[in-house]
Parts: sequence; structure tokens; C-alpha cells
Amino acid sequence: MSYLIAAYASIWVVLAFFIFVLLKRNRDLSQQVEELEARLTDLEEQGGS
Amino acid sequence: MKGISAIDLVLLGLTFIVMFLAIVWALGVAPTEAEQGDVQRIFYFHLGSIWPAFLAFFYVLYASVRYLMTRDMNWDRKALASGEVGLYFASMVLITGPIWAKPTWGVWWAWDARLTSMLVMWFIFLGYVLLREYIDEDSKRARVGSVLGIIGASMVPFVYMSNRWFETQHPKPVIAGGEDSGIKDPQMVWALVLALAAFTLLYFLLARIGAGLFNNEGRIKDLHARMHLLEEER
Repeated sequence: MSYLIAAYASIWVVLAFFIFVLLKRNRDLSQQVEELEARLTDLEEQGGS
Repeated sequence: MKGISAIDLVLLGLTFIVMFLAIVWALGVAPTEAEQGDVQRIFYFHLGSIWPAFLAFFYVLYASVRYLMTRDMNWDRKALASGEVGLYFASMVLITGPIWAKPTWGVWWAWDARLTSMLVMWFIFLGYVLLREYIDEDSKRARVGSVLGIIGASMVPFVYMSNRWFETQHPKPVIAGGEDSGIKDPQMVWALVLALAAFTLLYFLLARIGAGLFNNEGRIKDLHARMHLLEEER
């Protein structure tokens, strides 16, 4: 039984790490989108002027 | 945490609290089953995983129909995120099932209607996820993916009903399976309810994160294409 508890606990530690990695990657991608949108706006303004 | 939505953080917290309780109830509080012993405890996670898999595949059906009606790529991304998460849960069902089957049935696998239809559905969704790697054109990929997703999701009622319609090695349903079925011990019921709640929360959390990732990747691709066009014009 103690092995079963250890198995579930370790699966949950791995899963928690995986979820945090996914959340961090999503946050990084959102920042990348914001940066690209800002660069695109600059390029469009330069093209218009 | 900066840059992560409040809904995701609340879902994350709730998922871990409820999953912790589910593990405590399943492994500690619920009594040992008289005939099968401790191996029966895998049931809480086996049944707990199939419900969000079905939920995920139904969402694939809904989002795929919405994509085919509107051609809005966001629906395709949501369908893909749900399909991937559904595939994880279905894989858990197919892994925990044989681990439980061997000590109780004496065999790892039986080619009955329930297990076989579940495996066929798993292969359809594996194809649904892998297909994305092999079609380059966005609209064609989304169109073919939607059709495959609808075909896969339409198997859910058959998989669910298979052990009612056919004689199977797999036991009859625990929920709404007739007078002889079901679990009687209240602590066992609690362990099952907590497991179902925990895995459902985990599904919502992973599907939200997945949809956000695909959405951001799609937007980055579109923005790069627009920048490339602008640079070419100059």
C-alpha cells in the first residue's frame, strides 16, 4: 500500500511540474504575441507616414 | 503569478485540493473491497478518467461542428486542445484497466465489445492528433480534423452502452447499471465522487491551457505572415 501512495504522489509531482511548464510557456507566448503586435503597429505606422 | 489568468490559478488550486482529497479517500478512507482487496482501489482512478475522456470527446464534436459552420480557426484550436486532453485520459483508462484486469480476471485484456470499442476510439483520436503534423494547409487540416473528430466522438455512446448491449468480460456499469450494480459503501461513493470531480477539474484546466497555447501559436504564425508581407511591400 505504501508503494501505491508513493506512486500516486510521484505522478502528481510530475503532473504539477508539467502544468507549471505549460502555464509558463503560454505566458511566454502571450508576451511574444504582444511584442509582435507592437512591432507590426510600428511597421504599419512607418509604412503610412 | 504574473501573466497567468485568475481563472487558471483558481482551477489549478481547486484541482490540486480535490485531487489530494480524492487520493486520500481512494487509498486511505474507503474500505478495502472484500473480494478483490486493495487492487480494487484502482477503480476510482479508472472510472474517474473515463468520464473526462468522454466529456473531452463530446467537446471535440461540438467545437468541430462549430468550426465547420463558421470556419473560425479558434474553434478548431479548442477542439484540438480538448481532443489531446481526451486522448491522455483515454490512455489512462487503457493503462489502468489491464493493471486491474490481470489480478481480477486473470488476463490483461479481453477482446469484448467494451474494451475493443474503447481501443478503436483511442486509435481514432490518436489519428486525430497526429493528423495535424501531416497536413500543412491550415484550412484543409482543420476541415479533415473536424470530420475525424466528429466520427471519433460519435463512438462515445457506443462505447458507453457496449456493456449493456453485449455480453462482456468488462463488468456492468456502476452508475445506472441496474439493481445489482453500484457501490453501497458511502466512503467508496465519496472516493468515486472526489475522483470524478478531480479529473473533471483537471480536464478543464488542461483544455484551457492547451487552447491558449494553440491560440497563441496561431496568432504568432499570422503576425509573422503579416510582417513578412509588410516587409516585402517596403
